[in-house]
Amino acid sequence: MRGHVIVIGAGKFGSYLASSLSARGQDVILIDKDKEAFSNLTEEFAGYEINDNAFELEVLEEAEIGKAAQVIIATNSDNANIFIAYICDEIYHVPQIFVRQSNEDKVSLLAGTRYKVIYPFNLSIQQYFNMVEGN
Amino acid sequence: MKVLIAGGQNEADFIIKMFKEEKHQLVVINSDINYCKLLSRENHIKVYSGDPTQISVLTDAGIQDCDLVVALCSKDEDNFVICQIASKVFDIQKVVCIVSNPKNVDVFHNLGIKSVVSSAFLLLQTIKAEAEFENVVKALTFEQDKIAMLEFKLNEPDSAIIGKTLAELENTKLYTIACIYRETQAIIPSGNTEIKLGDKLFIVTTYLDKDEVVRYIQKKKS
Repeated sequence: MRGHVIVIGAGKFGSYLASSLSARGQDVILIDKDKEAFSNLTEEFAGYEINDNAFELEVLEEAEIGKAAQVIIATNSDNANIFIAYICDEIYHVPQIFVRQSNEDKVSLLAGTRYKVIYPFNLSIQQYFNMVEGN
Repeated sequence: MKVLIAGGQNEADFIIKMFKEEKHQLVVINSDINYCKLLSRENHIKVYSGDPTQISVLTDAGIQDCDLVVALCSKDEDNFVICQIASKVFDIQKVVCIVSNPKNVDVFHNLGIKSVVSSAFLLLQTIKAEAEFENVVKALTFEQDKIAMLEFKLNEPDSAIIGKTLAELENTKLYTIACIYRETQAIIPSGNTEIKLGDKLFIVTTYLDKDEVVRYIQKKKS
C-alpha cells in the first residue's frame, strides 16, 4: 500500500471519517486498541482495521506508516494525540498530519509544529456565528 | 535551583523529600486532590491541584522560571506532553521523566527527550549485567549502552593472562584495563604492570566488543 490514509482512534469522529474517505475511494487503515470501537464504522467502509495500540511503533509499521500520505489522529486523549503526532512526524515523516484536540490549552505548543489541528469545539462556535451572521 | 514536580505518587513524595533536604525550591502539581493534601501536610509545602499536562496549570504554578522539570505521571503520553511544553514553550533546559512502557525510552530519545527513566528498563539492565558472564563480578553500561565497564576477578591459576604484562596482552584495541585492584590497593597500570592471580581488573570496552573481551580474559593456559 502507498499513499493511503491512516486514521487513529475509531470513535464517532474517526470511524465516520474513515467510512467517508473509504466511500470516496481512498485506501484507509483504521487503528484502535478497543475492539468495540469499530462498531462505529458504517457499511461504506472498505478499508483495513487494526485492533491494537497505536503507541507501539510495530503497530504503526503494520499500517505501513512510512508510505502513508496522511494520518488523522483522533483518540479520546488530547495528550495521546500529541504524542502520536510527534511519532508520525519525527520518526516516520508522514507528509500530512491532522490532530484532533478537544481542549484549546495546547495551542502554543502545537503552533510550533506543522500539524493541522482540528478543534471541534471551536468549529461548532464558528458555525454558530456563521449561521447567525449569514442570516 | 527551582524544581517543578508534575504528577506521580510514591515517587513524587520521595523526590520531594530529597529535594527539600538539599534546600531546593519546589513547585509541585498533582491531579489527585487527596494526594495533594497529603503531600502538602507531610512536606509543609504548597501543592497545586490540577492537570499538570495543561499549559494554563503549569503557568499558574510558575513553570516559567524553573530550572528543572520532573514529570512523573502514570501515563507516558502525559509525561511526553509535559516535557514538550517545558522545553518548547518555556525553553527549560533540564527535563526528566519516567515512562512505564520500557520501549518508550528509545521513542522519547528519538523525539528529543534525553532524560527518560523506565524502572522496567533499569531492572532489565541490572539483570542482564548480573546474568551475562560468569566471573564478571559487575558490568556497568554508560551512554545508552555504548560503553561497558567490566569488573573481573582473576581466581583461576590457569588463566592465560596471569603472569603477562599489559604490553604483552592481545586484542588491546578492543579494551583498556583502567585499574587493577590488588590486596586493598588500586593500581593504575602501565605497559609493564604484570597481571597476578587474585587481581581484580576494571576493564573499559565498547558494548559491542565486550563478549569478545570477556572470552579473551577468561581464556585458560593451553
